[in-house]
Amino acid sequence: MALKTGESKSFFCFYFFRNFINLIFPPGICRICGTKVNYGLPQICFSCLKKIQKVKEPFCNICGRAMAETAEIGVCGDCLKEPPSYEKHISLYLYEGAIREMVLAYKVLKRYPFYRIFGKSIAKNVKNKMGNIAFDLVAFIPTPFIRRIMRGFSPAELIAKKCGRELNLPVKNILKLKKRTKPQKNLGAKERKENLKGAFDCKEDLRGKNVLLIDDIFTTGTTIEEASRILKKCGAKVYAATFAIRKKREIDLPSIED
Amino acid sequence: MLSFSALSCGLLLSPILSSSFILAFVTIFFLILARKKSSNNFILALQVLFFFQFGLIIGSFSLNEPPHSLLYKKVKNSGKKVPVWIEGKVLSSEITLDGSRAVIETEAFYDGDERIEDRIKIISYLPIEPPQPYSRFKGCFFLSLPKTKTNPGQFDYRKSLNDRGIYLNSELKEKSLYTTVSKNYFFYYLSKYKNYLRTKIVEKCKNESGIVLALLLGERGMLKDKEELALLRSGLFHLIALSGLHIGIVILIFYFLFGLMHLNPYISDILLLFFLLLYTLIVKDQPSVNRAVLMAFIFILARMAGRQNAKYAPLLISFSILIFFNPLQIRDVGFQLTFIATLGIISLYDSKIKFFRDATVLNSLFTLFWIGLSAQIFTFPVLVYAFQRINPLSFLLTPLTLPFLFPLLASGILFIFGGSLIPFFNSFLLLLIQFFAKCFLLIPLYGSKTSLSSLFFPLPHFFYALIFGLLLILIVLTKEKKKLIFSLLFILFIIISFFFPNPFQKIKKDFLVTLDVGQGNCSLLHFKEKNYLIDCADTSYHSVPTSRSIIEPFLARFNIRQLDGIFITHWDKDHCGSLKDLISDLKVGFIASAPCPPPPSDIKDSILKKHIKTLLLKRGDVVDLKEAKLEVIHPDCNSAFLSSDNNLSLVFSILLDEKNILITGDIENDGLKEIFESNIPLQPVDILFVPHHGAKNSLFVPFLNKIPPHVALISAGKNNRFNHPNPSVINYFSSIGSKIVRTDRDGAILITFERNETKIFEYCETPWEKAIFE
Repeated sequence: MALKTGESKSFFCFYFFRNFINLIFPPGICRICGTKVNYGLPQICFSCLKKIQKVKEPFCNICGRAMAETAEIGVCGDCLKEPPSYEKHISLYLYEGAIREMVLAYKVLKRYPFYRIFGKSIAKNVKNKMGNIAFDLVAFIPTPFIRRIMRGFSPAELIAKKCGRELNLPVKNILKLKKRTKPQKNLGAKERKENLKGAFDCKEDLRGKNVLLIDDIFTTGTTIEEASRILKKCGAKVYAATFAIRKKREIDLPSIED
Repeated sequence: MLSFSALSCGLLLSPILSSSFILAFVTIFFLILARKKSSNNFILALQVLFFFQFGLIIGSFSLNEPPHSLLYKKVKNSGKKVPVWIEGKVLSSEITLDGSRAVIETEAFYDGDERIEDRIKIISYLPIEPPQPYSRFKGCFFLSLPKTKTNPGQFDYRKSLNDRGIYLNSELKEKSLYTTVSKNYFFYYLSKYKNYLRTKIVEKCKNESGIVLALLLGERGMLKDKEELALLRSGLFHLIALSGLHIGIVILIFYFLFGLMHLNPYISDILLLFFLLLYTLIVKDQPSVNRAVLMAFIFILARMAGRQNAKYAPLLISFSILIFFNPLQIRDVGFQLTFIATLGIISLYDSKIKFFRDATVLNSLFTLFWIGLSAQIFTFPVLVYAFQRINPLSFLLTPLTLPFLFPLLASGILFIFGGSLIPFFNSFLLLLIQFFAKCFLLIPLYGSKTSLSSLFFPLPHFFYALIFGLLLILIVLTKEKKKLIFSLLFILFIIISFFFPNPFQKIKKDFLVTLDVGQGNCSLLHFKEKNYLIDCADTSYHSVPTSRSIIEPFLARFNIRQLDGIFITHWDKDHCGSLKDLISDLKVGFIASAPCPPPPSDIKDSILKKHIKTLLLKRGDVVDLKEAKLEVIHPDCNSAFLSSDNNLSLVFSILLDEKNILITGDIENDGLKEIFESNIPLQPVDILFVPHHGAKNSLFVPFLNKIPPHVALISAGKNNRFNHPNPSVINYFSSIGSKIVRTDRDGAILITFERNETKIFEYCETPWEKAIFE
């Protein structure tokens, strides 16, 4: 079976061990196309994994969104109109297909082992694209307490911790939640802004420091914008990095979660 | 290959297990599942079958054979209680109202001065606080064989113990005869902590300590009879079994604590596994808690491995693991119930369907009802065949208890995991626990009062069992609409089986049955399709009432749900104790008794409540029961005052066709003398109920000489403390040439009347169903 799916031949012991695990925890079917997979974690078949799209070259230098290929300056129209509080945001993949399934499995189905994959790839991306910047610490978007208890973990925190370990940077919980926010996923762009208004608080002195802010997805940018506005008030220069970014035309549609 | 393994499995099963038909269904279910669906289920089915076979093979070697133990042979040959000095190890222990109950394993016993090595598991009742598991001891025990069943339909205690590998029963008479030799330190401190928890709970909760211990630690020994009965009658007894709810609350509490500490989920999951293991070690070993913990383990491990959970996989895997350890526990009702209820919830409950839009409270309430109902539908066959009753309101009452049960368990689990050690916090927690336990108890107490909450259900024919099994498999396999249709069909068949439990067999003969109810009387007379109960004892002591354990199972077995009359000879507990339960469960025509001592007030109230006709019989009355005639001989309330209630017993003879049965109750010498002197014409009787369980002071020879019986029927308990029946009584009856039948020796007794033939069957010897139905 392992050969059929195009995996490399693994050491016999490992092969046996994994088949034993497969016996106890059936690996199931690909979350996108429904073909059988015989490994656990992404639970997405190889053919679907190949279709994953990275954020392609002409993207905005500030917000990291893809732009039309004809654009002359490296900054998109929105960022020119309303310059965001962060210096730069980078993202790795487009939030669709396999990536979307992975993020949903992580956040909705609570498959926390994904944090290692997400953290590693964000760290790699930061090293590649922002290697020239000397960061002082890593911050993350906090999760409301009740939601953290129900889920068992806080998605951004886990990714940030993994990322900080990869980059040899200290991870600090400097952003605090001031009010109870609703989950962003069912809200439109305007509602998102209102929901988050004055949600975060930071009381640390960050003058002259470079902060790397980490979250899992960049949808409308309101969360990152609000958080970095607070951090900027404290005197920090904020750089943001996320795992996936949503295409702009989808923004106002409410997402379909399972 | 699969069919081959299924075949060999079936062949293996049929000689080993009496309940093999359940297993046959399981194998068929897996076969169909594997053929229909993808290979994951196929693998799983193969795996389960493999574990089945493997476990059964091991089981057939180790458990099912009678032990080759010298001690067992010694006790079996003597037939009495044998005092023996034993050295051994305690395997498990729990608290009861008058001491503790423990399972011990012997290492050696002393025969005189000789030390003989011998291994056998024994259940023992000790008058001391629960001994520590895995500690070694030396003690003098009274050994005996456990009680076996002596009535049709009764629960077989000996068989259920044998299934657990336990073959002997023992009692410790005195504290001083037990000494602990050495101890296992881990379990020593664990059980010390457990004892500390118990004493704290018993100290602070006082009246509610029984229910709190049952809910938190799974120890039912301290539960009062009243509470136990209320839980049974309201159908809430399943709440006492530690199961998914407890495990869920443990997980929730620890996630809360780990969330406060910002722990990595890997670490928190490993810690959680550790604490779950600790919890199972602290609480009593039960199939339901084993199942729930194993399923939780599989869920957590799957999450850690990043795997999905297939729908039935955790259930099936935990099933095969438990079967692997002890295959014979499949006969255990608790084991069957916990698995079949979970199967029902998994297959019938669908979290996506919502009843109302945007009404979260109503929605959650309805999902609770739904979960309860689906569990109830699936457990129905097991409940009916094991207990002959169902609780239609159970699924409605269960969600009502949750508002009290949830905080009770939450604070209780906090109390178990360290909360008990913090000085002021522990008494606060116990206060909370006591308050919620009080509120919780109100629901079963009130719920048991409606007659609909517990329905007496005659045993359905085997043909129904096949239909139920088939429909359950169909419900599991089909989807959505078909599932609903099959569920409705299932409910329809439940109703049909309630009204026509046994369409193929009918009682054709007249018979008299005297049940072995221990030290008491209970007989059923059936003639011309009418049933009359003569006395109904309750001899239970800290256990299920006799009406539930013996009388109703017997009635259920022979499809009797209506009693045309109950005769109570006098109002002692060993003659009328079960009356209250019986009239609330069954339809009763009339209740006949002697007029003089009035019935106890509680029984009187329940008779008045049910509007049952009462007959007060005195000397000279003749009751015409259509086919039979009933003549009352005693008491004569006009005559001189008699010394005791026993002497005011109802004495009457029943004449049916040409047979003559004399019922005497507990009448003693004075009463018999009074009858003898009153010049009532007496004639020889065919069947005599020997007065006062064969006591010495009821042997009034002049009276008995007038009525030499063919059959002398003595109803007495085995090894009873009054030493009934007295040897002189037995000698007298054998000297006048009557046949003596005794319930203490022979078990329940069946006497059939067919034309001029009278046949006597003892329960231990002949199958009754053949005698009655054919």
